[in-house]
Amino acid sequence: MNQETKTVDRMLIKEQVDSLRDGKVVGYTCTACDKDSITPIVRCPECGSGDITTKIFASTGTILTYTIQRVASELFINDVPYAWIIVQLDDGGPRVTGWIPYVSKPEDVAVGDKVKITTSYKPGFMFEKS
Amino acid sequence: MRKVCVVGVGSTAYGKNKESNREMLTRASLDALEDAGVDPKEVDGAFFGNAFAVTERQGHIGPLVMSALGIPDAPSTTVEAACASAGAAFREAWVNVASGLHDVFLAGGTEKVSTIDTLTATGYFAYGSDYVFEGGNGCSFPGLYAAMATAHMHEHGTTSEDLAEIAVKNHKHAVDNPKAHLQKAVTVEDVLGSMEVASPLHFYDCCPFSDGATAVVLCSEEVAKKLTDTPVYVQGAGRAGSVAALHDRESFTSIPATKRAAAEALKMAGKTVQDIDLFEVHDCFTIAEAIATEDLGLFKPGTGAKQAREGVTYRDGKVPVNPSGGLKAKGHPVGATGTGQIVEAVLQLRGEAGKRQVDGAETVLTHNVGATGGSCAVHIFGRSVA
Repeated sequence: MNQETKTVDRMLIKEQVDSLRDGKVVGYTCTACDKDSITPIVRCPECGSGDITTKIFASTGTILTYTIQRVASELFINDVPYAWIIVQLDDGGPRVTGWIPYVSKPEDVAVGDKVKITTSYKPGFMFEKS
Repeated sequence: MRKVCVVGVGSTAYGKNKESNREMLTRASLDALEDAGVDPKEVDGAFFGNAFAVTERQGHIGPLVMSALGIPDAPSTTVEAACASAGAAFREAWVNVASGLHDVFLAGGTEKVSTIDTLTATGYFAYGSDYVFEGGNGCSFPGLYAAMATAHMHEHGTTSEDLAEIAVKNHKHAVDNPKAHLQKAVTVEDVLGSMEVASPLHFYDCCPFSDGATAVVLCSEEVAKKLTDTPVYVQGAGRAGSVAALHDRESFTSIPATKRAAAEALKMAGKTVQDIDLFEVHDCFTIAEAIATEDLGLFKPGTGAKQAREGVTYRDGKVPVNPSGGLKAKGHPVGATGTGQIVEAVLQLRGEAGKRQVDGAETVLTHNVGATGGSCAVHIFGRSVA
């Protein structure tokens, strides 16, 4: 059976993570309804469309929620304390996660703070206050 | 579908246990079978939860247990749904009996984490998250619930004292549970004065890393009536999922899977949440109990964290929540917790819960969550068919 299949411009997660390390925010967008996602998808969770392509998003955003990590797993054991944050990217982009080094006091971070992505030496996004 | 009953329960003590997973789960399973008056040879199969087989370098736990029980021919399957592993295992066993395919099934779970240090355990527990975007980029498992707590405080004005009151309640309940990991009362000052793990959560806002195993025997109503005059019925069984990554959720202060699984279970039982007498909910962290009780529809969004302070959720309160001590103080042997909640539900319905008995309990709801809500299992149990 010779079915026509749609080509989804899929990345390996490793490539995505590597690009994040360079501060380049590459994610996915649904061409049917404009839903954006940093998490890999092949069908749109909003409209069900399979027309998903990759897209480069803004590298600035606003903190939606956070925690100051004082006990970490092995990967980040030498970095405590630091803030782990969920960020709404600017220009209607997706939500992403990341961390801000050297945050130890409650007054150092707040919901609504503006942040921007910096080049990271760890997996995923590293942010600084902007 | 057929009516299904729970006719036997078994549980090791929670805490540090010298025994291995195979020993603990075999003991819990045999205790459940003896409690039911069912010979192992009558068991058609089993589903067992076990999240961190790697701690003992021993996967494929089912056949070891079935062999030890003298029934190596009976099929067994390990279910992994993070902290909801045993709740999910129970659901699969229920499907096997309710469908008419089999008459008698075991459901249970086990976990052994005292063999690893805190650093290693912190790493393993993060494996249940979306590791690329959560665990692997700096968020510990407490950190994810801490981010939910920050959002709950920001949106609803919840305070650290409110959360501490939930820990105080569940610790108080656990004092009367001889199988609880932390049989010790704590004060609000103890909680707030304990080390901050991930702000705003303190050490005493978090459940302990526990060893333990639990098991229950499920059977058809027909078989149950031959065994006992007072079986406990599975009135409702609900399962649902949520998008795994917290950042992809519309809200950080609600778990969609809880709402969907509860709706399915309540519909099956023909009940509303107000018909339930007591709740065993997934309080891996204090904030988790607050959010669970809101998502179950017990309290308005944003008010779940105020209820322990007001006395509402104490064992003798209007809406008893976690009379066992919950994951918070009874303990959390990850792969065993879901069926452990069901053990408590059955003991309460039989009037065998000792000092922690909730008077006149006719209907109990159990709520078991995997990670931050990627998995959820809700079950409703009662002394009558429905």
